[in-house]
Amino acid sequence: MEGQMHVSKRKVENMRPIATRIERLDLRELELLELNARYMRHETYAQLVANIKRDGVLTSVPFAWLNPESGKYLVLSGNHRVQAAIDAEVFEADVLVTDDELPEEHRIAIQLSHNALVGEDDPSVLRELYDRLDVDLRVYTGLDDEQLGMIEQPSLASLTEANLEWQSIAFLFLPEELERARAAFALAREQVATDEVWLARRGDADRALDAIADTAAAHGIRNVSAAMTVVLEIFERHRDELVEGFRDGEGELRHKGQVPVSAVLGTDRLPAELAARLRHVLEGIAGRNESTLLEALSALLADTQGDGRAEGRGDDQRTRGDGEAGQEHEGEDRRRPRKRRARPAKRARRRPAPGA
Amino acid sequence: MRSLVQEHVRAWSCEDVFVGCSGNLTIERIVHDLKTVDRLHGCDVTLYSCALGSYFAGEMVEVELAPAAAEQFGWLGGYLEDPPDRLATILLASAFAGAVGKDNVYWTRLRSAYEAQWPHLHVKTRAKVEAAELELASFAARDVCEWIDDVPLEAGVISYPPFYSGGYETMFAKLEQLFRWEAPSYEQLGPEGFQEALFDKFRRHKHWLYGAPEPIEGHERELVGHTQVTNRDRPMYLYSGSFTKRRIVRPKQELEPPPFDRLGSKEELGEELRIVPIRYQQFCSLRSAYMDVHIPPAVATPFAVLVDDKIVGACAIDLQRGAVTFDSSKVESPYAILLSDFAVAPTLYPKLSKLVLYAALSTEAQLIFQRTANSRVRSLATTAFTNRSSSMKYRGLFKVVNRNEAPPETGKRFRVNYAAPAGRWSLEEGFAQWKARCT
Repeated sequence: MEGQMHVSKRKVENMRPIATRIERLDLRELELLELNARYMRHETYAQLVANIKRDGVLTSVPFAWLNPESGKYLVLSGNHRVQAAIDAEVFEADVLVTDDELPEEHRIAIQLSHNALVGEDDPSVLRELYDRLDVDLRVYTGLDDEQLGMIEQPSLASLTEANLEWQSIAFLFLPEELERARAAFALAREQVATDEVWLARRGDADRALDAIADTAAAHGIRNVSAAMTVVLEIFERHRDELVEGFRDGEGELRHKGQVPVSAVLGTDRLPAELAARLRHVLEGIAGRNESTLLEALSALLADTQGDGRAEGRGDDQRTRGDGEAGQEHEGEDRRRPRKRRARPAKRARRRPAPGA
Repeated sequence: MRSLVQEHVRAWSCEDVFVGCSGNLTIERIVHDLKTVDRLHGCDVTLYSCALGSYFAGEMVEVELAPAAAEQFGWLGGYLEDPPDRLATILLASAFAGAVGKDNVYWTRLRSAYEAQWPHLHVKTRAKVEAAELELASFAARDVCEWIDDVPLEAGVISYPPFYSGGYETMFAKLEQLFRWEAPSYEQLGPEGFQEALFDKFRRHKHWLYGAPEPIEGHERELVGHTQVTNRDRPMYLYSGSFTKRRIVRPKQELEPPPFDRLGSKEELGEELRIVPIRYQQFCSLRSAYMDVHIPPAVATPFAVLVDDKIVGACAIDLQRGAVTFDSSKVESPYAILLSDFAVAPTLYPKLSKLVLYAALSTEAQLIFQRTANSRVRSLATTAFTNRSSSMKYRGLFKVVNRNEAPPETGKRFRVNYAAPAGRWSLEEGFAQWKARCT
């Protein structure tokens, strides 16, 4: 570390005084630094261009070094000024130049020092001076009242309508790895401020997004949640296809868990008259058996499955041993199930299921 | 603007202040808060402003549902009983009116939501209206050009008229269709008309403040304010007859150092191409350093492109597609707009800007964009301003959608729109392709 400091010190000591002179040059003929740590915001640069345009000249002089390789002057200080002057169509300017031999390190040191060795502003003096200027010249300075803390912001209570209230749901599609999924789920619970968060496999993400995008395109809308609503409506209309989830094409049961009623009927609503009749039948069976309505339904189905076999629609799904109850009430309940079976037959003619 | 109005009016010695083109009564409320003015007066022509103004002047306009609206939105009729009811309904209807007459799923859903939530929203809006502390001595539903002639010369006058002819009419047209009321007749203000017919009339008063979207030639000495918040905002010029304070507010991007070092000028690329979200302030720093300084910045979702832990470039995506609309028959929808893309420089790699595009078109980038947008992003679209008929940077990766003459302010000959499918390769594959073709 100490050795490095000695080297640096010696290099600075070896810098000789630089011979300079002012020359009127065509700014377009100057070389600009390839690697420059200093950059400007768009608005700062635009103001610099506007100022040069207004003045018609450069009011501070760039410093340039004669590059013996190209024979052109390389701007060591004032690169943005030169570029801005060209943009302002001020093509000629006085430039402080040197033809001295300057090693690269020395040139870099000059370049950096011109950026770094700048003074500080006393805020109150700055405000006092700035306050003497009219609007146009304040703009010229590149400063503004806000950054100088000269604007007090009056607060104003809102006088607008109340906004619609929304609820949000986030779908997070995750990689397959369990640990990452768990970590992301934990993170999601911490960070995502939504009303509900659902997790799904990442592999399904594109399909879900495609479904939403295609629905939006079909309806001529861009709003994602409106498109999602349509997707859900389409799902609602096809709920009966959920049967594929628990019964295969051969009529075999796929699992023994719970399934929604709508997956059986295609809807979770029944006409009131039909619902009342069904309820009446089930209550009748349940009352006699001292069973629940669900058990009564099971008993009813056990009975109708007997009919099914008789009609050649073999079905061995009678797994609950409730045939007795069905047999007990055979005489009372057999007519209605037959009517109900007619409806799926009509549906099947209208829209055949794949592989049916 | 608010600060300037308060600073000026505080110094005025007048009992009455008249505000032309009241809008949503912002100026009235700013002046009212000062409590230095005895009487405030307003004037405007739209139903929205007239409802607000007349309510706070204690003489609420009479309104009823227009016949067509009564047929479709009859339920609104129950919310027009007393003045606060009517004002709350008109304010709420101004938001709801956009959904009227449009029949796709989105607007239907919005109308239904408003109907379902209306009782609750109305209570909230009415509470706001009743809590507002504002009192106007008078409000005139009149053409400001005529109204100003009747304002006493010793009063203070303020106006910030609408920028463009027909601007307010378009904004409130749907609202006016919903209600029947005694609307005033007036002539629209044009860019020529406002200076002659209005500015000069305002300047005759003892105290005046006048806002304009453009500088008014010959009145430089009366310019007391110049405000522009962002680089793409319209500026506002505020003129006054009495010098009190001069204020300017200029755009200034907030900058923050990027979270990684950039690739050094003599440094070789590492192994792994990455694309990561960064903060907007960090992106502004990179853009200021490496993008064409002449291009005004626009707000977009920013990403840094890295190789290992070194920034090689950045891009920003407009996922809402607010900036430009592309022909959906030529660009696969949904698309996102690639608003900015650039590489750091100088480096050992002259075609590094193409690597940024390879990264932006990767499946990983597509996944990030989709996750950010909460929607599918099937393609990226962008616009290049160039003097050649095509941009070398996009050539080979993007296809030309169309080519037009560039606007003069760009200083370029052509505006070329490009598009490319998103998610064309993995970052690893994209990096390998770039190495094979561009190094």
